[in-house]
Order: sequence, then C-alpha cells, then structure tokens
Amino acid sequence: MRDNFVRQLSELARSDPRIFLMTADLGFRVLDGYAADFPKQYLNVGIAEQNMIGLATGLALDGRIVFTYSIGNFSTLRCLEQIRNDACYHSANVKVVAVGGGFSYGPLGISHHATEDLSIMRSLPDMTVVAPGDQWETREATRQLVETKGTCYLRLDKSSAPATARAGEVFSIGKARKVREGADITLAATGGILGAALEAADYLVEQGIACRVLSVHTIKPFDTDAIIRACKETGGIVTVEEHTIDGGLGSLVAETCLEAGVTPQFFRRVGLRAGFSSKVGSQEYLRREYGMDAASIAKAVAELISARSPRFSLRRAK
Amino acid sequence: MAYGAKLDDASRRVFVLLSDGECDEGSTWEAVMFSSHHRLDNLVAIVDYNKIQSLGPVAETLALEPFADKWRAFGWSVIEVDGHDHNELYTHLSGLPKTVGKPTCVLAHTVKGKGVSFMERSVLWHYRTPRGSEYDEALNELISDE
Repeated sequence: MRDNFVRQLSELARSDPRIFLMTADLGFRVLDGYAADFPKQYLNVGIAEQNMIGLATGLALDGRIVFTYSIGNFSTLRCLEQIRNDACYHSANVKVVAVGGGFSYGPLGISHHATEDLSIMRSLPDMTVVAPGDQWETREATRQLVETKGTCYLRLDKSSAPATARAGEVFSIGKARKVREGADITLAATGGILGAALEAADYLVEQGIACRVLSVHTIKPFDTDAIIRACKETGGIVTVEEHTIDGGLGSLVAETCLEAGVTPQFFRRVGLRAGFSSKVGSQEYLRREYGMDAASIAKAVAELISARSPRFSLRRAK
Repeated sequence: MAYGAKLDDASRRVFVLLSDGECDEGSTWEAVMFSSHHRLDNLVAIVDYNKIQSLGPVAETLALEPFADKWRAFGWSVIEVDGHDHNELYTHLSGLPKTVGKPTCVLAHTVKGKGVSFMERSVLWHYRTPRGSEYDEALNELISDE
C-alpha cells in the first residue's frame, strides 16, 4: 500500500505544486524516488514528529497540502496534541499518513503495533479517517484526500485484499463499498484485513452461509446508511478490524445502530481483545494469535449463526 | 527512576542507552534539561553516536553538532569515548559521577556495523538481516578480528 500511495502522490505532485511530503526520518528506499523527483516538495524533518506536525500546519496554512509520513504510532500518538491543536483545530490541509497499520510491523513489537490509532484519530473533531482495504482503494483515497479539505488521517497497511474494484466503479471517501453480496450476514471490515474477511466469506459459502462483505475504508465521516441497510437486509453484523475493539469500527457500528434504533439480530466485533499485543511475529501470525485471521472470523460467524438460527447445522469452522 | 532514587536517598545509578537519531526528539531534551535541573548525578546517558540514522547521515538529516557542547549547555558533564574500546569505557564508567551534582553523558563514538566490512557505515544494514553466506562472511570477519 505504501508503494501505491507514494506512486499516486508522485503523479499528483507532478501537476500540483501545492503537494508536499514530509517524513520523520522513515521511508528508506520507499521515498527515494519522490525525494529525487520533487526536491522542493519534500523534507525529512528528522525523528521529530511533533515538530513535523507544527511545520506541516505552517506550510498548510500558507496554501500547501502537506502529507506527513511515519510509522503508525509515531505519526499519530506521539504528536497527538499537535494534530489536534495545530492542524485539526485550524482545519489545516495536513494529511497524516501512517504506514504499518495494525500488525504490519509485527516483528518490531508493541512500539510498532498500531492498534489504537483509528479510535483516537476518529475522536478528533473535523478529522477525516481513512483505512484502505486494497491497492485500488489506496490510490483512490490518496487522490481524494488531496481534494478533501482539512486534516485527514490515512492508515496504510502492509497487507492488502486482492483487487476488489469492479470495472468503472467510483470510489468515494465516506462511502462504504459492497465488495460481495450475501443475505445471511454482513462482514464489515476496515483496512487490509478486508482480505481476511473475504477469505472467511469464501469459506463460509462452503458452509452454506452467504456473507455480504463491506469495505468500510472510511471511518470518519461514517457511512451510516450502509450499516443500517446491512442490519435490515442481512442477518447480522460482524465487524473486522486489525485494531482494538475499543472505539474502532466495531464500536462505531454499535453506536450507529443503537442511535438509529436498528438492532442487528447478532453482532460481534472481531479485533484485538487482549489489550496490549505483547506477542511478536509476522502480521499473519499475530492475526492468528489474536483471533482475527480468516479462520477466526469464519468461526465467529458460524458460532453466532448456529446459536441464533437452528436452520444452519454447521460443521465446525477450521 | 533516577529522580525516584534521589527522593529515596538510594545510592543506585540509572543508565540510559540512547541513539543519536533519538536526540532529534524534543522529549529527549526535555528529560536532559530536567535531569540537570534536579542535579541527578546518579544518571548516566550513553549515546551510541554512530552518525547514521534511518535514511542517511545524521549530519545531513538534522545535525547534532556541536553535540557535546549541547549536553554541556544543558548542564551535563560529558565524557567522549571510543565506543568500541571496552577498556576506555570501563575506566570512565568506574569513575562516576564525573562531576558531583551533574548527570553524566558518555558520548560513545561508534561505527555502525563495526567489524563487518560490507556492513560498516551502511544505512541498508539498519534494515537487513544477514542471510546465508552473508551471515557466514560476517561471522568470519568478526572472528578473525579477535
């Protein structure tokens, strides 16, 4: 995803001199091409994220569109107050980019696991929060963030779902995408873990359970309609996020449904429930360990459905 | 922890290992300033000054020089050593604090990837893990050095 982000940004920077990319000393080899092509639209500020947001806000208030680049927690939590007070409050055109959503940097341990960023970023007023699920969404989101006024957050993942776009499909920030139709249940996923949700849906079809799969690439502004429709048109909702279950997509869906007076027949949040992810390993390994790989998702769905709907007699999910 | 030890009148020392790139962060200097203000002479910061950070040389990213002077200006006592010379390190670390009433900064000049010719001073090896023959080659160079 980060390569597609940089490629897309390079294309945009060529024709739009307002675009500026700032890094807090990360992006080895990834940003080299951009840095060489656009020396006046690029700056490595050093390992100083708080200063980066301050600088970015200054440039943004002068008319630039500034993308700030670092790894998950460094580009968000470390400089949270600057994002809130400097950038967000002033509706500055600062686009905070985090590479390494969720367990992307799994082998580097807890400091590099980004598992609270979505809920924290979405609580900031006027913030736009986007977590693409595949490469196409990444490129489209990058393009549209340039056009989106104010401060935005773009969470990029190491993993990516296989291409999900239909020919001629139009991507819109704030509009969830139905990437698969099914009536028994809705799997609503955000970020690259969309791939695991699709895989789970494949498995569940064999079990006689048809899943609607939504790519909820935008956490804020939230596509309330898509969720309410999913509640009414399918049997229930399971949310999937490589993120804590506290305050992320799952919470958002629950809030949305309750406030709209719509109750899904069943509901479950697949995400990090263990608190700190103190285990270390690859993204796939950590998903498995923390119960959010395709098999865990399928199992959660199968259990929910068989508990509620006796018409399904299920073989146990693998 | 060093402040806590002072509060408790405990004699223990606290050692902090820092990278040079880490000294870009404002929070590092907040702690540096705090420590001298509170006369934490039980605190020792050892800086692994290899002059390379994530994307390139420190001097070209965010220059730290005059680095030792910065620490001194922040109220620390500074020792500059060859970070690869264990005897030198042993001598200096045996005579702490360098100045009573001041925290000590050991500015350890190092070479990133020291002892392995193809790793020395290379940003690439900040990220890479030696594989197969690379590993054997590196190990050979390190062993023949001894």
